Amino acid sequence: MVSNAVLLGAIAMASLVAALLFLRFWRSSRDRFFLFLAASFAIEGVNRAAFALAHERVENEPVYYLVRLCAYALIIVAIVDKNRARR
Amino acid sequence: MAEIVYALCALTSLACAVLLFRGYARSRSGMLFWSALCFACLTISNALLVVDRLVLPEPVLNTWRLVPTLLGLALLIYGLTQEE
Amino acid sequence: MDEATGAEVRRFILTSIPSVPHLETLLLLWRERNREWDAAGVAQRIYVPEKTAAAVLADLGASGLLACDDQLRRCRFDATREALAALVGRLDAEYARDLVGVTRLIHSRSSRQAQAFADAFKFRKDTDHG
Repeated sequence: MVSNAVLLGAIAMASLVAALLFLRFWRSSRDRFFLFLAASFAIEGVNRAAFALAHERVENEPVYYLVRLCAYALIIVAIVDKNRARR
Repeated sequence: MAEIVYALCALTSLACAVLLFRGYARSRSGMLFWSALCFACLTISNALLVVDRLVLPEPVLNTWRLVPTLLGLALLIYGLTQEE
Repeated sequence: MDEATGAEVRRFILTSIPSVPHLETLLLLWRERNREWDAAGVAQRIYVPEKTAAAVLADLGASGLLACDDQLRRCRFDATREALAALVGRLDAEYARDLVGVTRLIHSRSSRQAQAFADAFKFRKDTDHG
């Protein structure tokens, strides 16, 4: 179980780093597509960190998978927005 | 309910992976290749999560789901930071 | 760069203009679009070695922005492509107005990568400019 907590911690960290990289893309491109992606990875990062800190198995907890649903919904929003916002 | 959510996540990651691979095929950009691999890993991870709870009686794939997730994110970070 | 001209010109620079000589060659041929150009002529006007000018003409010809002969040696700006001509016109105005900003954008690796990444998520490809 310890090794899972370590993996989750690393995943949380990596998600937050990816969020920051997308934020940098947003700064240089001013394309809000990257804001959605940054938000998605940041939410997942925090979610994973919370999971790592929780003592029990929480994947069945609605809070955990609904947060993940939000994170992935943001990716879908980003893609739809990218294809809708056309000249 | 959880199964449906995780299945949707798997489909979303799969869509991202397909779009990025298509972009890579067009532009040959290394960044797109690594990002596509990242979403492929996340697809596997989400799919394993569904299998884990639908098929297996006891959750045994825990670590096996986390490894592709971490690998995928590492590839994404590599892809987004490398020099073209 | 203001928002209105911004998005489209910006995208065009990031996806189609790899260097300042490419930009200046395209603008030169757009301004004097009633004649055909070769490397020597371009080199003289934008102050680059003839070899560079030849490579730039070949690039722009291969990417379809200029109409060139089979060897990509003699090129002209096809004035009948109105959408492209209008876009290059806006680019010309932007370059005159904000030379530093446009140059910086051409050299911005992060912006270029961001553009490539975002473009991958478009269902339809729209790489041609009219």
